[in-house]
Amino acid sequence: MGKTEVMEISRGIAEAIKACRPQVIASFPITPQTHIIEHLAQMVANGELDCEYIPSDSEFASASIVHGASAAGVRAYTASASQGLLLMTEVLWNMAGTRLPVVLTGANRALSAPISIQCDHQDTFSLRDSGVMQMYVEDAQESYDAHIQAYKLAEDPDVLLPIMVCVDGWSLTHAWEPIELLAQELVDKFLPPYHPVQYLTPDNPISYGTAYDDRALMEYRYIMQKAMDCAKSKAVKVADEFNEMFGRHHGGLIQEYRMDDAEIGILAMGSIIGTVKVAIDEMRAEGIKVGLVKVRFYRPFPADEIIKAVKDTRCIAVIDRNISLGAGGALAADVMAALYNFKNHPLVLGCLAGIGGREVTRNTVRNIVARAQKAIDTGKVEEMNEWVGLNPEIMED
Amino acid sequence: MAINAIDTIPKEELFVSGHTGCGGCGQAIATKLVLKATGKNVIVVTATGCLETFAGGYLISPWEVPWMHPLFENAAAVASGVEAALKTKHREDIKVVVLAGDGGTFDIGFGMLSGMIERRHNVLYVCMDNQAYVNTGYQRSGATMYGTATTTTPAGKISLGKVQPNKDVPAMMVANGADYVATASPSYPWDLIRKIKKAMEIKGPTYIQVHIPCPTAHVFPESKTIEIGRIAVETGLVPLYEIEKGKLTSSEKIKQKRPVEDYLKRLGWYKHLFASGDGAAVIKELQRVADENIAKFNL
Amino acid sequence: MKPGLGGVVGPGISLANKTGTWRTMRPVYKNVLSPCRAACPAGNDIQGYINLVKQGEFKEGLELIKKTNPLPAVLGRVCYHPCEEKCNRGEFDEAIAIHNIERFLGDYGLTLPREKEVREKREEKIAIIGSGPAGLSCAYHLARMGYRVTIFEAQPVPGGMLAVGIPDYRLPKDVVKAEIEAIQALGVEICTNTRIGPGDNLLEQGYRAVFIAIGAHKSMKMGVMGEDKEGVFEALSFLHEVNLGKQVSIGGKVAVIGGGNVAIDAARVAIRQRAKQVSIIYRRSRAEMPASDEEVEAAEEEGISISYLAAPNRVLGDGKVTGLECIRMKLGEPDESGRARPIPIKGSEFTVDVDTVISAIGQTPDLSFADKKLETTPGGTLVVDEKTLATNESGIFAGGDVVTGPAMVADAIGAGSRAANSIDRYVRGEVLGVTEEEEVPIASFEDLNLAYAVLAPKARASKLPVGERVRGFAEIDDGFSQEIARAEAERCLSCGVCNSCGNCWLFCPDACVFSKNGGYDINYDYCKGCGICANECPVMAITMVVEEK
Repeated sequence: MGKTEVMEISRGIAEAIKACRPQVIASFPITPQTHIIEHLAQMVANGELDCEYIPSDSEFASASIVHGASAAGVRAYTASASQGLLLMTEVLWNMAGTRLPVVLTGANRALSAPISIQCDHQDTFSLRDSGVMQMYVEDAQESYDAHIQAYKLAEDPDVLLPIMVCVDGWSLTHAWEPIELLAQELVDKFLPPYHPVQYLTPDNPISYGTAYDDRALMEYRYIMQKAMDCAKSKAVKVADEFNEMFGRHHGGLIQEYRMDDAEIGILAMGSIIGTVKVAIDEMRAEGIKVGLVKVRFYRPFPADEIIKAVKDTRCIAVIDRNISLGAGGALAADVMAALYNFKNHPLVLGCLAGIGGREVTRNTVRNIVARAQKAIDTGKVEEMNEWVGLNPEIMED
Repeated sequence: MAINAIDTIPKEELFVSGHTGCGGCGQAIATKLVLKATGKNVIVVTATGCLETFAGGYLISPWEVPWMHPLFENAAAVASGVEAALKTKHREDIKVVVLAGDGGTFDIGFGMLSGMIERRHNVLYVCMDNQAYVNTGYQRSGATMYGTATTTTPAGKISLGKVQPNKDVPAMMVANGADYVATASPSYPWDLIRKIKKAMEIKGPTYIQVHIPCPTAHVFPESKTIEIGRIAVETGLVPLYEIEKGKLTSSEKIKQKRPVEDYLKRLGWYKHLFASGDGAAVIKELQRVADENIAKFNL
Repeated sequence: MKPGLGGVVGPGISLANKTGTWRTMRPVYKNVLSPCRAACPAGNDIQGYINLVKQGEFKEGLELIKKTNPLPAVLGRVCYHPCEEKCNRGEFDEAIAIHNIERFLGDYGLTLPREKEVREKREEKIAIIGSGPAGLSCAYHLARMGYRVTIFEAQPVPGGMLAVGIPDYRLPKDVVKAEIEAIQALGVEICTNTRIGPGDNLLEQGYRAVFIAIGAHKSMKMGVMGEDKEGVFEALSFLHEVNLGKQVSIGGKVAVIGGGNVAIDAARVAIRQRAKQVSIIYRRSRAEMPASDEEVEAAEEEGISISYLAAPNRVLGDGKVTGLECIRMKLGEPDESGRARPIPIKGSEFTVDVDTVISAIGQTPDLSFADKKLETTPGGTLVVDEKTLATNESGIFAGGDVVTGPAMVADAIGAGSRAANSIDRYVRGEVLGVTEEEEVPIASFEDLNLAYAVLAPKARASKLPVGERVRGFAEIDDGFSQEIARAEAERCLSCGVCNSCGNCWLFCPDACVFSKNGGYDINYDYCKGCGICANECPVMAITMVVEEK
């Protein structure tokens, strides 16, 4: 197959992007994604990657550059994190609205203020309404594979939405692990060159970005939503095709782990999946019927798949490494909303953990499972959102 | 001017009728003239503003060239991306042209413009300077002249309009390293066309700032747009010049110099300067600016 | 109609949005009258032919001018160009040299093959009495309409004042001859040495209509003692003889009485006849002198002196002139001519030492040829209807100096063409002079947009050096070359007449001006009525009118 090497995962991501043959890359440094774009720059400098690499003046510019490039009909890539993603926000909405299949990497990092470079999902979650698809990767290999799958999904003529591959800062971006780099010919076979449905060219002078009003904007959003809906089945299809070709499956929209007879289900995203799986194995060995639903795609939101996976549990604990301040964890809220109308749905425990880089350990998972068990025993959930792992010593009285 | 010179301008309209620009819109005229000079082999990027609004409404597009409106502040960056894409497709014969207002150029878009120039993208950036955020109802911009009454720098009992002078963005573009920087006016159409054509041939970042008289914001009768543009140039307040690789290479000599009052008195948004004696000091300052331009650019 | 994927729309879909509904005023292309054309007594389309000269289309320019003036080479030499007085360019820098451009076209025309006779001729015969400019003009137009025209000319040569009045240095005879021959080539018969008298009833002789164009060739008498002495000449007779090539012996010291162009002509001819000293004596001041400024300056350049505010009292001498007693005049209240009445100053008599006196105080028509039935004015001219030029006798028309008294050649040309139109209508039984023309405005200087004009001096043709002029009768003024004519034509501001400069098309914010038939038109579906086209039109050929809902 391909060549397996131990490397910093950021480099693996760069290799994945290189294999996808992007024509325009725009970059701007921000911790913790900087290594990705630096590797790409080196590849270009060495003649390994034939593309226009533009180190720009801000993330707003980077996003704008790839938006323009994609509108002109080429495959484009950029990456950012945290503050940079916030700065890109206006453009990402614009990109989604103009239905352009740009791929970007979001290296998850907390948002200012206070400034922190530690990992949580606050930054990518703040973009959840934008029309940009989001997938969260679990480990090193998936960090590589997911980017290749992302282009295929985004460029599908029935989808045509930008997609962000969310990679946990530090625990993934800066970790060194073995990654199999796939053979270029096979990647080319899986992901053919990009043929845009329409693009800016004097041969066919179209106008992008005209205004809408009450006559048609609602329909426009409806159509975008339908594209998102369509993306669900396409995401599964892409994952299956990838598996067929390369023998690896990281899940479709979700991936179930030991959920068959689980009484307690844990829903989680990103790199903590690994820890959760280990904790589950330990608890299973102790007889606790606990399982995991890895939520791989957050947008589009796999409501049906989640319902199906958890319907037979008695309580599920949703781990949110983010908080919608004034409400609660966003994943938990989406899950609760999905389950609400489903008869006899399990209890749902929203757990705020791992925020600001706070480690999620096996004990954290045990803690969560214990709370879930308590909920099962009492038959109710005390609070909609529970903070897990707070340090009372540094909190004010 | 020989009668046949008009025949050298292509008859094909690349910016057609049916847009919702105000009657007498200076920007519509300028856009038309720019496209006469560029021809069809372009991709145009327009920032949010008057032009984008009246030439990009729902089911309204007068553009017979490929056109994109992204956001307010990022026309320069989007143009950079289009230019990069064209490079990878080996279609560098197609020129990327930005048409953006002074709002999207002087203020909110300035950083990205600076980046585009610094990275030396082959983009012709044309700033349509009507000296305010006209689209949203004539609020001040960095291009608004000293003493102008806008809705955010209104004249009032204790105010004579904007208290700061406007930015000299062409000078900043020169310092930024643009290969070719010029100022132009639709009232001098041959000069504007010549400059656009010149910039089109340059494979590097170019910037042309076009003074746009605006009947709606500046408050004058719709039929006078071109006439007022001429008068503005004749006062020295709107110097027309070219700076190539940092050197001043041409300036349009003023045929018949006029005092700045000739221009100011014709524009309703300066009427407060004539309402009381206090305005005289502002007028004097604007005259000084005009005189300075005349000396500096040898008008 | 809806946008596609990503909100994308196709090019130019805005054309479905007909913004013409916005306007309250609409621009209309409407040429107005150029002041030059309005001032020209012949009604020449001056802007029109200058525009053609500008583009190098000389043949077309010639055809255009010949629609109203068959003698451009002549007029381009002798006309006093009232058009140039009214030329709007004169208020910008200097008036266009319309006169020289007309001559250029006329001279050019003389190098081309002659226009041929009309094939389909009408049966009717028309008689014209007098082959001066009025008669020639009338004959030319009638011949082009197909009529059989005969001109009866009393003199041995055709041309009227052109042949026997205006000297060669202003109007070479071969030019007159060539342009008259061009008219004859149309089938016009000119019978010279044929004087029509009271007994000749041309209508009974088979002519359907008659045009009287005998001019004003009878000199007025000075009414002073000694007028009949030897050495006193009438200016017209003097010029007549010289122009016919006869030798006229005048003395060495000549006084010419009068202030009109005939007086100047007589003086300038006299000085070429080797008179040592020629002076003009005029009873009013320079300001009232009817002669054109150019003529007066030319005379002074040739060494002719002019005495103002003086009039002859008595011619001195026994049988032959030995001197002229004059009296000084002062200016009083205006008389019927509107000019200040000259009043003799008692006791201010003085004598001028001359041996020749040429009287040029005015001419009137010689109406002795006509029968008593034709209505005349007290001043001795024929009465005609102003518009139709019909006399009180059916079928008889008149025009030129015989009606107006001495006037410009251009007036006669204009009269001839108006008469031709009237005669044509008369012959065909149509009612004469009915058409009410609408009042067409004239483009004034204020109406023009001069932002597009560049200061440029008027072109001037070269002249013979002064010293050479009086040695003979060689033509003094040279004509324009093609390059100079075209360059001068470029200065024309085209007042009131669209000359396709394209400003309207260039500046329309809504791209709704388009080319049509060499000019422009407006797509009213989209025109918002902003009026920039009208404002930037340099020539006032676009008018804004209120939009009717």
